[in-house]
Order: sequence, then C-alpha cells, then structure tokens
Amino acid sequence: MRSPERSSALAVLVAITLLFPGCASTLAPGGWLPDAEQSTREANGGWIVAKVGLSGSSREVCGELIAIQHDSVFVLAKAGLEAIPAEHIRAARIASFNSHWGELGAWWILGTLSTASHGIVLILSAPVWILGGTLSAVAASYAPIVRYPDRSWSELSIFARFPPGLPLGLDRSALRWQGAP
Amino acid sequence: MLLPTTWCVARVIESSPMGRCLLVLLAVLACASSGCIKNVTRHVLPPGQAESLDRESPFLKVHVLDGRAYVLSAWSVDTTARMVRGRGDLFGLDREPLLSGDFGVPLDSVALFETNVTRTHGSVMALSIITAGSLVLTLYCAANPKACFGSCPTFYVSDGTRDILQAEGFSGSVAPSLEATDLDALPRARARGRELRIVMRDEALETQIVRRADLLAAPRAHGGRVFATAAGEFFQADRVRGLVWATGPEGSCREALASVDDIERSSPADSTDLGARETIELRFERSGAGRLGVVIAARQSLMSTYLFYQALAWMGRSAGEWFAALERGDAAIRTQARAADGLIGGIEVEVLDASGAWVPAGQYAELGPIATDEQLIRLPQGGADPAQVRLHLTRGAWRINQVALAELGAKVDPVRIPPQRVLHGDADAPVALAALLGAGDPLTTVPGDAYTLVYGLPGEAEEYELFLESRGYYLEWMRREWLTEEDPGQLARLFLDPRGSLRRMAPAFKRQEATMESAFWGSRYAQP
Repeated sequence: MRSPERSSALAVLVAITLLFPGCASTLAPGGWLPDAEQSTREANGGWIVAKVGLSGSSREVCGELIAIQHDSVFVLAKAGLEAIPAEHIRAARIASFNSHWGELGAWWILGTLSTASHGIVLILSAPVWILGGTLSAVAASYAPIVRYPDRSWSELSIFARFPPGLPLGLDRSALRWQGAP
Repeated sequence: MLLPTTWCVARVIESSPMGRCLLVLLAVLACASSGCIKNVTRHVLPPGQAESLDRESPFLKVHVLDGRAYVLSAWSVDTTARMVRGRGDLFGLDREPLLSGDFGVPLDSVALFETNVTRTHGSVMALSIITAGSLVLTLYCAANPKACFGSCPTFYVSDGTRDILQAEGFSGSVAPSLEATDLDALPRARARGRELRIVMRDEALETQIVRRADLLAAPRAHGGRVFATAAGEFFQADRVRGLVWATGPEGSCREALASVDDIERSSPADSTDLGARETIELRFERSGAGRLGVVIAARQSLMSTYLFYQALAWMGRSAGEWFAALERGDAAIRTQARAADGLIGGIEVEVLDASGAWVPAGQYAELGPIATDEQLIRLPQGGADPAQVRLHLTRGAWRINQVALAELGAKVDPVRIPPQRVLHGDADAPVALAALLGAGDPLTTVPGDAYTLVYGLPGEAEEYELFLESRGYYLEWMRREWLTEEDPGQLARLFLDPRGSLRRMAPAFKRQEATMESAFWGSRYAQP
C-alpha cells in the first residue's frame, strides 16, 4: 500500500542518499575555515589538499596554502612548511571559506517534509523541493572551492596567505601550524 | 531505519497544527541561518592600480612587502599623498594581530591589494523562491482544504499530439452501494492505426475501485457524428448546426457556446442561495422535419464537489457510520443521499413546440468537475421553426462549452471493446487486466497509480465514434482539516432542509468561489 506521505518519505531518503555524495567537502579540519564574511577580515590562506607524485606513487598533502612562487607551492602542514614543486602536483583543491551548505541541506529536508501538508499536490511539490534543494546544496558546496588544473597556479595564488609570494628574508621555521587538531 | 523515521516525522508534521507551526518556524529559522550562505568574489591589484580597487569591498587587505598584512575598514586611497588610509588591524607573518587603530600605509610599501565582496549565494535565492511557493501552498491548503482535491478516475487520451484529459469516471459513486456505470464521449480521441491507448489515473485522495473500463465504438457515416444520451442510446447525426442566438442573464453568450474550445460559459453562484436558478435561451436554424437533438458539452463547476465535501466535513468522525448505514441499505439514508445528490440538479432542456408552448425534453446530468462531456438530449418532434430551446440550471453550478443542434439519423449499437492489455509503467499488468475483464476482484487504485489501457479497434478509426464506459466506485479519504468542522446539527439540517442549507452555505461558498477553480487546477498537473 502506497501513500503520498510514504512516497514523500521515500523521495527524501533517495534524495539524501543522492545529495551527499554529490556535494563537495572542503576536507579542512572542523572549524578551521572561516565563514564567508569572516574570511574578508582575516589574512590566512585557504586550505589546500594536493595530490603529489610522479609516475605511479603519490601522496596527499593538506594544510594552509602559504604562497605560490618560482614554480613551488608552499603548504603549511602539521609537520611544518613544505615546498612542493608545482610540476609534481597532479591535482589540488583549495577551499577559501566554509559555505555552510549543510544548513541548506537542513532547509531542503524541512521543505521536502513540509510537502506532506500539500495533500495530493506533493506529487508535484516534493520533486520540486528535492530537485531544487539538491542543486542548491551542490552549488553552495562548490562555491568556496577552486581547483588545479582547472585554474593555473598564478590564478590560485590569490588564495594564499602571501599572495605576492614568500616575503624576502622570511624565517620559514617561524611559521607555526594554526589551530587544527 | 531512516525511511520509517522520516515517514513518521512527515506524518507528525502533517497531522497536527502544532507540527505545522513548528515546521513554519523551522523553515523561517532555516532561512535566517542561511543568510550566512554567501559567495565571495576576490580580486587582487598591484599598488599602481589602487584607484581601480573595488569600492564595494567593506574591507581592504593590504599585503605589504615584508609579508605583514593590514585589514582595513572605512578605507580610502589618497593618490596625492600616495597613501591608503583606514581603520583596522595589522597582522604579523603568523597572522597574529599586532596593532589595531587608524593606519596610513604608503603605496610604496604595498606588494598587493586584495578586495573581497560577499553576496548571498544564488542557491539561497532559489530555495527562497521554492519556500515561498511551498508555504503559500501549505497555508492555502490549511485554510481552504475543499479546494485541494481531485475527483474520481481520470482518463487521458491522445488527441493526436499529446495525451489530454478527456473523461472522468463515475463521479457520483462515492460508496460501494452507489457503484454505477458512466459513459463518456471521447470526441477528441485519436487512435494510432487501429490501437487506442487510454491512461487511467488516480489523482485524488481516494481509493478507487474500477470494475470495468470498456471502449465503445459506434459506427458513423463519413463526416457524421454519433452522440449518446444519458440513457446510453446512440444516435447517428448527419449534420450538426450551430447557434444562431443565445442569451443568458449576462446577455449574449453565443460566442462561448458556439464550439468546443477553451471558452466556457459559466456564471457566479447566487450570493444568498446556492439553489438559485437561471435560464439560457437558444435559437438554432433547422432544415426539414427530421428528428432533432440538443448536444450539450459541459462539466460541473466545483459547487457540487464543495457541497459533498462540506457534508463529509459535517459528518466528521461519524462519516464511517453514515457510509456503513448506506451500505447496510438503510432506506432513510439512501433517500437522504439521493436528495443530497439532487441538490444542484442537471441542465434541464425545454423546447418550444409548434403551438408556442415550452415542452420538457430531458436534462444533461453528467457529474464531475474535471472533464467536459458531450451528451445528447432528443427533442420531441414537431417543434417550432427556427428551433428554440431553453436551458434551466443552477447558477454557478455548470460550465457549458458548447450547445449544438443535431439532425439525428439512425439509432446504432456500438461495438464493445474491452482492453486487450493493461500496462503499469511499461510492464504488462495481467492481474489488472483480469480485474477489468471481470475475471477477478475489481481493480483497486490509490493516489498516484496510473494504468495504460490498450484497445484494438474493429476497423479504421475514422469509421467510429468512440466512447468510454467505466464502472466502479471510490472511497473518499477524510481530511484532518475537515474533522474540525464536524457538526451533526448542520448535517441534519442539510438532509432535512436541503433548500435552506443551500441558502446558509452560500456566504461560505461565495468567499471561496472566485479562487476555487484556479486553485483546483493550479494544484494539479492535468488540464480539462
């Protein structure tokens, strides 16, 4: 026996299953990235996740993007500042702020559940919510993320702590890992 | 685990006013919290282009040559002094704040300027629009539940280009004991070769029990038509004549009644008495003294459905007892049900005879507000020339698409064609087919169900006028909103004094009448 409410619930379940793999995670430690407004008042770099390696072997380097210059990408990881040759990086993604797309997800789930009050019309309104909510959450999740090789390293340098490049005479050992657990 | 949990949450929300309030509150909170879902547009410029900095950016980040960075609000660029000024913080290389206050930074010490402009993400706008529409629908359905419904099985048939709604089955059969056979004309149906497909849907909050859905193919002459009477008799028509003149209380209505199209003739219900009647006078050309019939293509307005749903609302929790009494064959209940059924009445047809007297000819009484149906009312012989006809009907109860005069030929017997195949989705549904062929229990459908019925025509499609004969009944689902209107007193008055009840119900109906039709169709994906 089917009912509109049961169909609605099923649609929510299917949409939840489909939505989350479709959304992009920043992969930054929880609380590390500022939200959009806060990011305009801070001067840290974005969070970079880079796949590094030539030929078969590869490793993943995560941390704050410090600078990009002289064909090197400087990442402040938990172990310290690492200079990675740009040509060794196969792919990278940088998140500059936390989009809080999960709140859109909550909004979307509540909205979809609310179609239970639409009677038979939920046959129409529930798919609208599911489609609109999914597309919105996916779009919001990708908003703070930029990728290499989609963009060049010179374009990505603006998301570094030092967009012009490493300052002259910088004591690299003075850069400390910030805040991540 | 998640499925039953989600289902339970949906049920709780749907079932209680508190749940709905909570839902609205949560939706508002979600909207408010989503204010922080923003996008950031970042630009960097060298100090030589300081004049081109984006002034919309509330903060200016000044990356100086030694690696430190200023974040300034209320910032400005002084090109004369070659200085950027503002209030804010100076951050060290490790991005710990070093100083706060008013700063003036010489352009010569600047490596790069950075501006950031935040805007609400487009996805928030999209969800806001969906939320607004959804809330309007929620509030509308809560405030006006009798306008959010469907009605009986609906039948979609191709007109040659797309599937359109062409019939609704047994609209008056709201209980097993009221099971009935319904005949609907399919004048716009177009077969594919010798195959006709009809999609039968359950689009209402109803359990529908369909015992039969046969196609009737009545042979017709080339260029002619066949019309059916309410009694199920079929007559060929050699010629169909249009209106010469038509007038109702609103004045001429000839244009609206001239042809089957998107223009229907309707009138507003009386504001003090839903039983108030009106008359439409019609005149047709005629030739010869052959037998004539008036063909009416019409559908009911939502008035009758409103009255039925109001009666259910007044029954409230005792609705089951009322219908059980009906099923037990309680004579009083059956009499009351029939009386209620006749509250609105049909479209009565009178014709002017040769002596100048108005003579009753019959009535159009097809029930249902969804699909326009054609019906023939045969006129007595020996009428006036030109033919003059009067229609008597309840104000606001009918939407008439066309009235025409048919010059009738022979009575014909249609070929009965049961479905050859029944498809549920793309798959054959042998159990449903057996049900519709009478080989098992009747076919039971619930909201959202759709079956495609496939028929084979006995000859070329042009040689036949097609009709759909469906038989069954349906069980209306009670809406929780209605239970709040339970009122045995009003129900008793409806049965004991139906005429008086129509007067008492008029103000409430009139408050919703203007928007009821658009809300009804707007809440569906079917079109008449």
